[in-house]
Order: sequence, then C-alpha cells, then structure tokens
Amino acid sequence: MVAGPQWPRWLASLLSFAVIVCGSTVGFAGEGGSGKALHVEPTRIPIGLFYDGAELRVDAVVPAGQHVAIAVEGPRSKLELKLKGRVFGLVWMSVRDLVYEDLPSAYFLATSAPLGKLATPPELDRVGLGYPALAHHAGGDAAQFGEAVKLKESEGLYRVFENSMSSTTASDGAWHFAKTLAISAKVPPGRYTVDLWAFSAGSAVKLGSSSFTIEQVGAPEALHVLAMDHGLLYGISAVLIAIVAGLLTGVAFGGKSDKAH
Amino acid sequence: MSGSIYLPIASNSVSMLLMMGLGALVGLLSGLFGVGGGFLMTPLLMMVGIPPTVAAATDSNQIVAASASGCYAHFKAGNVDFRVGTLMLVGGLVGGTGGVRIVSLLRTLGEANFVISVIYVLMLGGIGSYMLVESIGSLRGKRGAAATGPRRPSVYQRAVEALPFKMHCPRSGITVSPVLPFFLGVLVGVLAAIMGVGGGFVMVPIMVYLLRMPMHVVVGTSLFQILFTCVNVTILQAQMNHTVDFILALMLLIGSVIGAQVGARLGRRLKADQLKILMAVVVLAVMVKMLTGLLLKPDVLVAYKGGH
Repeated sequence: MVAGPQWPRWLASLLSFAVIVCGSTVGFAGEGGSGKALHVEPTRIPIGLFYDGAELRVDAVVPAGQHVAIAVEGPRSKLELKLKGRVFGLVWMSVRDLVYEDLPSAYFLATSAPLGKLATPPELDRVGLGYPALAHHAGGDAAQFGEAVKLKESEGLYRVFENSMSSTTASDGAWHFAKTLAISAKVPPGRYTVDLWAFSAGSAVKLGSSSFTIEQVGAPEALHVLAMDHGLLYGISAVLIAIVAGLLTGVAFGGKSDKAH
Repeated sequence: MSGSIYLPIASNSVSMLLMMGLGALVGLLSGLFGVGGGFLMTPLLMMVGIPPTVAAATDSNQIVAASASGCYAHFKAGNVDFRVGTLMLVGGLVGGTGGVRIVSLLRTLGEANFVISVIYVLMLGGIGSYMLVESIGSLRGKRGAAATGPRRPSVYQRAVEALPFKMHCPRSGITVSPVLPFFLGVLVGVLAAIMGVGGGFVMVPIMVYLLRMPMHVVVGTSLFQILFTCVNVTILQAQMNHTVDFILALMLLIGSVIGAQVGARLGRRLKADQLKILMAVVVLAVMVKMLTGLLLKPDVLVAYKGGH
C-alpha cells in the first residue's frame, strides 16, 4: 500500500502504523455518527394478515465507561382522555376530560443503568428521556399523568426498561449494548424514531439516531383502504356476507318444518 | 404466535379460535333467547383489547349473521310472526331516531353517562327480576300466574281491547290492533338508542308480557327485528365512522352462525317458562356485572375519549 520510491523500511512501518491507528480512530468517530454507533433491525415491519407483533433488535456501540439510554418514539399527537371519579360517593363514572399535548403514540425506553444514576432529573428533562420528561413536555394535569401512563402501559404501548442492558467490551475497548424490544401487534402503523443517548459525568449526548416503519400490507392494507375510503360499499358488502353466511348455515343445518309449541 | 389473525381496523391481533368461541357463545344466546348479545359481546371484546367503538360496530356486523341464522331456523319451525315483527320494526325506526335526540339532549346537559348507566341497571334488574318471578311462579302452577281460568281484565287489557283496526296474527295466535306493536316498537327503539343496544332483552319481555305472544314465537320474531336493525347500524357505522372491522366480524360470525343454530334447537326443547327463567338469570347476571363495574374502583382511572 505504501508504495512509491524506495522508502526506508522503518519509515514505511511507521507510516503504516500511523495510518492504521488514525484509520481506526476515524472509524470509531464515524461510529459515533448516525448508523455506526446505533444499528436497528429490522427497519421495516410489515403487517400481514397473520401478524402478531415483531421483535426489534437494537445494537449500540459507545466509548467505554459510558452508560446508554435507547429511546423509541412513535408519532406525536394530542391525547384526549376521560378521568373517572366517584359520583355521589357511590358510582364510578367519567367526571372530566384530560388533555395532554404532543405525546408519542408509543414509547419504549431502555437504559443500561437506573435513570437516577444516568443523569439528574433536569438533565433527563432537557433531553426528554423518561416519563417525568414526557409529562413536563405534555403539560396538562400533571397529577393524573401517571394514570395516562398506566393506560398506555396496559396496552403495551409504553414501557420503560430501566437498567436492562449490560455491556460487552469490544476488541477496541468500546462498550457494546444490545436490546431486543417486543413490539406488540397493538403498536400502530407509522414511522418510529430510535435515539441513542450516551451518558458521561451526568451529561447526555445523542450519539446516534435511526428509524423504522410499521406498515400494513396485503389484506390488512386493502381492507383498511376499503373501510376508510369506500365505507358504504364496505358496509354493504360486510352485511351481505353476514346474511349469506347466516342463511347458508341455516340451510346446511337443515331447517325443521315441525311446528313446535 | 400461531392461530392469530390481525385486525386492520381494531389495529390489534387476536386468537382466531378465541374469537370463534366467543361468537359461538353469544350466537347460542341469540338463538336461544332472541337477543343480539351485544351486552355480553362488547365488554368481552374490550377485554381482549378491541377499542370500544370498533367493538360495538363490529358486533353489529356479527349480529346480522347470527340473527339471520337463528331467524332462518325459527322461521322453518314456524316461529316468526312477520306482521308483529314488521310493525315493531317500523316503530323501532321512529323510536330510534327520537332516542338519538334524547341522548343528544342528555349530552348537552352533561349527565348522559350517569343517566344511561342508571337506566341500564334499572331496566336489567327490573326485567330480569320480573321474568324470573313470573316464570318460576308459572312453572309452579300458582293460581295467580296461571293463564287459564276467567279473570277480570286489567286496565291495560281493557285499553288494548279498545284500540282500533284489530288484525289476527296466526303465528302467535293473538288478535291485536297494529297500533300496539307499533307503539311498543317505538318504546323499544327509544330505549335501544339510549342504551346503545339492539334491544332484544327489552323486546322479548315486551312481546311476552304486553303483547301476550308465546315465548317461542317471541324469540324468532325478535331475531327478525334485530336482523334489520343491525343491518342498518352496521352500514351506518361503516359509512360514517369507519369502525367496522370485517376480519374480526368474520371470526366472530363463523362461531355465531353455528351457535345460533344450536341455540335455536336447544330452545325448542325447553318449555317456555324454562326459557324465560334461563333468560332472566342471564339478564340478572349481566346486571350484577354492570353494577360491580359501577361500584368498584377501576384499575385505571382514565379511558380514551370517544369510546362509549
């Protein structure tokens, strides 16, 4: 590689060594950019007729000694809820509305150490990691935000996996983390961002960003389009199929003509 | 993993066998009692993670199939009174429109949910208890409940006799003015619109006690009306709200069309009073379940807005 006129052997070795060292350093910094420090697989989750959820594998490479947080977020929108309370001291009913602005449709956070150890609440808030940060950003009734989270968690749409990753050390000394997230069938179609945050001395730095999409394909997609864009036709077809199914079953069972009772 | 199917409108996956089993169970109730079964199916669907609006609209689709199946079986046995059924149905359409207005009014007053829940519990409790007491008494042959023997006609009976244009309905063996089934149909329609159900469990007692029709004909005639009501609701929901999930409906109806046939045959083997007792027990069980749902603190204190 280091070709050219007759160079002293020692110079060629030194230059080669320098190139290799610089190359690996540059390569390492390149891994700090998007795509190298963070790898997400798959980047497309197709929802077919027999879809029952998928697994998302996230791999992260960071400088040794740095803990990580991996945040998966769905599209943000307003969340409108009804709060239940006791009416007349007896009956549980919806008593008022709750509105939270700008919340992700799904939220998964995996960290390699307890959140409290990664950074202070103000720092976590600054970078928008964790439920308190989401609550702060969403505004609304902070006291009831916990119930909103409970609702989302019960549907498998929100989950925080604190202290759930351990590092393996790569040959060059970097730390490697891996996490497999279960994406349930309830997680809706859309584009999801995956961010990698590394923490050193209580400071968070975003080392990588990726994304994946979940999309309906085949029969689910066709039916969805039919239902949304051709509602009347869809409804009439659904009804006709139901009636025919009912009548055919009646015929198949063989109607009895006895005038009972 | 295996045995799951994805529901494109409900945005979730479910076990195919579980949905067919659910459909079969509710179909059985349909064929047996002449009810739509929505009061049972909708909460069960919500429990497996179907959004409330999709659950209600899709169940309506399933009920079309089950009631078509059950009604066919009852028709073959001569147990559908088309005259009474059509009159009540037309009344139901009128009543339903009015009922929707009443719900809008309640909503503006802000007390809709509470009023609706109270009505539900009172109606279920009242109807269930009355049916239970009446049919147990009838089975025991108590003199007061016996239909034989001369009795002084009640005020209600005399009012009914006074109505004009009497017609004879051979299937149910009653002779009555068309005004009565029509008016009762209006009543059913109003209640159905307020409570958001097909109205079977209100229709059956009304036909039994206020129209004095035999229980087995009541079941078939009720299914006839429910069929048309749900055809209407399904098409409207699909067109206006896009909440009908056909894959879910298909899974449910595969079970329910068979369940309805089994239910229809099973019902024919039972005596009218036995059938009434069974129905009363089911209605009371649903009332107890609703009551506990109202009185016990829910696990999660929030719910999505826009659900029923």
